[in-house]
Amino acid sequence: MAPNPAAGGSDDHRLVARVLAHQDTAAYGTLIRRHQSHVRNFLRRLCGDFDLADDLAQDCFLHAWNKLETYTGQGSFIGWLLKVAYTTFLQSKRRSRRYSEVLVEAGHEADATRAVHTLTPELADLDRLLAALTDEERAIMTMSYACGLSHREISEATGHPVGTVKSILFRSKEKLKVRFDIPDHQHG
Amino acid sequence: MADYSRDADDRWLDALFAAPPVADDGFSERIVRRIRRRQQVRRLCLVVATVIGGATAWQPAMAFTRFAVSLLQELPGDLFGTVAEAVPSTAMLVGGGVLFLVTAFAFRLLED
Repeated sequence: MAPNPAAGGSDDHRLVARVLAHQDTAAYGTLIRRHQSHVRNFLRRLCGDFDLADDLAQDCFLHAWNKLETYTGQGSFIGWLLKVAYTTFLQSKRRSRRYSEVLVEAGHEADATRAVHTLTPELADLDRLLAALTDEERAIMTMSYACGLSHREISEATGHPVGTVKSILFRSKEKLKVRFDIPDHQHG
Repeated sequence: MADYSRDADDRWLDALFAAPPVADDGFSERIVRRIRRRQQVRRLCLVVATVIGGATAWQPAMAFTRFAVSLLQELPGDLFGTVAEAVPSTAMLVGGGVLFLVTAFAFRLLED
């Protein structure tokens, strides 16, 4: 079972309140230290590229600082943070897709292809496994199994109803089992 | 926290997804430094904008003050009694009031 990052929830809320009331960068630094590992691991799973993931994690925390007043305190802070991280990832992906389209239009197909494939050669087994999933499925699986978020928290982070989150998780698991020929409940 | 019973598939995926914690290694400090730098730049921009805005608005504000003073001077003396005698202090009051409001507004913005 993945560790539950929402354990220090009320303390997170206190720190967020301090940041909002006094623009307290030290309190925000504490929040970053507390959650950077989950955010970076989440983005590493999504990107498959450690350097890009760390750049996106920096962008994510800067966006989170600017948008902190939109955090209502109803869900866990890590859930909200992963929502910002996922949005940052999608925006970056759109930008890189647009970049590659511009390169193709300009006749630089080789460069464009290189720009799209950001996966590093030292791709781990799990990353190869996750490559079979769509971005959304990968994000939801990672939130659930790597970050230990509940269905409700994933629902808040992705904007999908809880039922949709459950069905995406089920579909992703089935996809992985079928694709990698893993029989039910036979995991060594 | 997981809100459902986890079967063997879930336990397998939990183990598969388990990743070692990423060491901070100055990551959080870098972000905090960037945020503080942005805050400083924003404050500096605000001060510069206030100074430029004040300098630009100074002449129209003084012209308006002079106009208000001349208007007061042209009013019949018996209407306001000794207002005409107090004209210099009225100009100072209006100018001072405008400056006070601008300063208070600028400080409020700086605090924000």
